[in-house]
Amino acid sequence: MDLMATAISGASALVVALTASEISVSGARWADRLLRHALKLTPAGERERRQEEWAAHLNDIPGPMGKIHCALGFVKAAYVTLFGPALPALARLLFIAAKNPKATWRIYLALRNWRIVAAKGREFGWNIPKCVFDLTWAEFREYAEHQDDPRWHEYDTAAFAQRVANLSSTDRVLMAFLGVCAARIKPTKVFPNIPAHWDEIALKIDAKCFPGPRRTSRAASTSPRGPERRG
Amino acid sequence: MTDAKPPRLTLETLRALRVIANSRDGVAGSQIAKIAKLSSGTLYPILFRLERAGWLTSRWETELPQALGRPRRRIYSITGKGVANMRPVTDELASLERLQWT
Repeated sequence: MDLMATAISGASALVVALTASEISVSGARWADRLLRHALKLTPAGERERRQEEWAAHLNDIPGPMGKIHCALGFVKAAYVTLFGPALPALARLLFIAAKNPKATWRIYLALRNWRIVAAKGREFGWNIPKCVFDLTWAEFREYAEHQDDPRWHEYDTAAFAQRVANLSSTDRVLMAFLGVCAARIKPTKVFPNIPAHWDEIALKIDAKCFPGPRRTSRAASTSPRGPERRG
Repeated sequence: MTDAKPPRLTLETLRALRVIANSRDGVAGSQIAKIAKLSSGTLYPILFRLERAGWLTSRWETELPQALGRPRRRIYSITGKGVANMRPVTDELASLERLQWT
């Protein structure tokens, strides 16, 4: 029992140490990335000013964790500034929804059954995380699908490799897993350490995300988008 | 640039305003956050709102970034309008803060 406790505490210490070292190495870079994200949400006319002002603020914060926390605050500030004027309207909408539960339920069901058909008849349903992944990798996916080969294109791989070359090991693993859901690039060329059964994993994810029979004709890609009832 | 609608006066807004009002030559965002104990996510929307309402003005540090060895700070100062609007609620803020600590 004592041996077990020692092993668990040792493993925990190792995990904590690895996490701390990862944060200390890439903390400033993450803060910079968050700052850039916040700036994207800022109106173009004010972007230059905010960039310098926030960079100066980040410069005054000691430690990688403090910098990340501060940069997260900038993202929050950007969102609040962007959507702040809409918040009273949202509150009003919630109030109306609470007063009319039947109508709200009907609207919810209509949204729930909203079918969005993308290229090649792929359906994007209520699976929000998947939509986020696909949006994240839209640039790769669009090009790959244009080539009629959703798994591989040399340019995409080169661009992808360029991006991942500057990331830490944890990021690379995460990015690789995100890549499965969208771009279908040949990851074995980019990451030599990725398992050889990558295609199997991708197929499994395909089966999970797109359970219906897949339409492959070009005509399917031009199918009308918008609210449709599922049959 | 200035909004006709006066900004909402929350406890955080008053804290930030008080820090700016107490500084003689203006104060940077990072210093306001430190003294008023506000996070950057709370502070900056307040500063933008107050500046739009004409309660605050801001300017860049006069030194060049190359000379400073870091990015220039934006210095915030309170305007006459800000002081006039803040005065009636300053006592209220003090009593609220006393309430928080007792």
